[in-house]
Amino acid sequence: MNEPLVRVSKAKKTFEGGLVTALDEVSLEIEAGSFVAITGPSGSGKTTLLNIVGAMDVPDTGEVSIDGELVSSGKELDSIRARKIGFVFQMHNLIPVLTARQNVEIPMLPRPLTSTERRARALQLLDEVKLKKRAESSVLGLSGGERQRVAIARALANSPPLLLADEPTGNLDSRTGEEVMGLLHEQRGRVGATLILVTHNEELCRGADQHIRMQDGKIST
Amino acid sequence: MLTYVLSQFMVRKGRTLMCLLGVAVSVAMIVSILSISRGMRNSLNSYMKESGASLVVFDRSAADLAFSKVTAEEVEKVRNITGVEEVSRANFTMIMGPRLGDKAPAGAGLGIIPVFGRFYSERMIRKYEDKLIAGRLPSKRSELLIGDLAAKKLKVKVGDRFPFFREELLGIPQYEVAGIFETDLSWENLGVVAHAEVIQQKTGPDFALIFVYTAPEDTARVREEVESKIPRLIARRASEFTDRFNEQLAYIDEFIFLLSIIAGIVGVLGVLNTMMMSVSERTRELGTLRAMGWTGRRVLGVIVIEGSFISIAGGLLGMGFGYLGTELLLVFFSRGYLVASYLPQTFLHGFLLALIVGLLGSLYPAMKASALQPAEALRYE
Repeated sequence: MNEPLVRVSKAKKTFEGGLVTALDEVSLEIEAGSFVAITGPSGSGKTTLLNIVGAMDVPDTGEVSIDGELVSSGKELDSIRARKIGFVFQMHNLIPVLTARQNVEIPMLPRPLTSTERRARALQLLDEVKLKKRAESSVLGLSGGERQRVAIARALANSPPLLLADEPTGNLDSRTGEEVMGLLHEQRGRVGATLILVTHNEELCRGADQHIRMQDGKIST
Repeated sequence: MLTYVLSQFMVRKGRTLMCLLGVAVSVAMIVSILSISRGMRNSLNSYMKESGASLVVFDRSAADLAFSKVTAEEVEKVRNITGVEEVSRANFTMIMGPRLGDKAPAGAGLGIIPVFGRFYSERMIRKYEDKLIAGRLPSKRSELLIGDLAAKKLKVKVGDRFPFFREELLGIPQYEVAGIFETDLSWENLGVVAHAEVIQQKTGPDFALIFVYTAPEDTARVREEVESKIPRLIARRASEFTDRFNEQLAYIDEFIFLLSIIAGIVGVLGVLNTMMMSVSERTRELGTLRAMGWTGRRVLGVIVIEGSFISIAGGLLGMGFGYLGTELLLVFFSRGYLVASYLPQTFLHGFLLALIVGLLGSLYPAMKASALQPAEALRYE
């Protein structure tokens, strides 16, 4: 049997000196190339789980490994995020002072690439999300849907095996949201990445290989 | 990364500009003070060299030449040392310029004028021979030489007689302009060379210093003998005199150092404030960068580069401001008494100050930014 891409084992995370338990000994495994939806009410622990799976945080106890690498702390987290994970945020979180192309190049900066290589890769990705013509436009001049497409291109910049999307359609109208989700699935399928989607919208979970419902810091289903 | 750094300035143009100007003003102040300080030293150096004297003898313990006293007996002792060819006595005072009554326009003659006392029979006066632009060297006690700037200021020409000292308005004899000179030193050109006895009436019988002329091979021995026979006095070669002057004015260096620190602190606080605000406003953005795999070190580098860019730009601007400000000061306010020397090391000093300001001012915000945890930063509202 293949090693799962993400393995979380009895992960516990508390805040405010242990008064608030965000994750309560959660264990899960996520297969490579799958589509996983995480849902749950606010405060159920889904964002904390996403942060831990995304190597942005470490559990107080328990273990997390991504693509065979144990997530511990310090520099390794930066490296794991740079190589293995692409993020798509609800608010797209693009750098407003940069163009679409420059935003896509940002995750590639720590890598040993020439500026020509970075530029070519960014333009290729923008082409794939159908935004090549707006490559040199400031992201401030793009619509919400276009910005989210730039964010998807940016998440794919380093060809990560794991894509994490936190309410990627939360700020979009339903039609644009559908387009963005379609694009996200298309790109995931193209590169064979695993997609973990955190959402309130049950509609977006259709077709998920794995549906994780969170409740009070635990997986309820 | 450079694009990212530079684009940040465009977003916060106003704040960046204010910070940059703050650094520029600090650097300009230092460049200006250093240039004037160096200029004054260099001009004194030139003045002593032009005397042509082998040695300059003055009061060993005087903190400044204005307080130096060499008595007539001491002058005679020096004159009697074997090898001394000639001695020129010099005294000095500064006066409020003469009022010229109906001749002068309103306000004319109210400036401070340096008066150099010389005996017209002694060698030192001859240094003005080839500096004359009108008239001749003075020969009588009632005659004087006037610098061309002072002549213009007082609107006098060769042959004019006027009450040079204010008390002369009360009936004391007037002085006649024998000649007008022009040297390379603006403060000398603003001055007057009067007979030393005239100055003695104001400052007393002592002299401020004496210029000693010897054959080159005798200079070292004469110097030793002067100091051994009259330990109260110090004898220095003209070039060493400037060193001595530098030593006396070491406090100016200390003052400039202190000013640099104050200017630096002001600059650091400006950069610190700007960068702290920038980091605070960009918390989510920095969190996003961290989420994409940027290390804390890379974020630290970005913030330090941003701060350094502002400071370096401010430093370059400050050098320009410093130069222009000094020139304006010299033209409009110094009345010719100040001289500036624009040395490369002065500008280097200003640039280094700006660089240090940039590094120190951005270091704390950079450390704060690099310590941001991506998950927390992304939650920041």
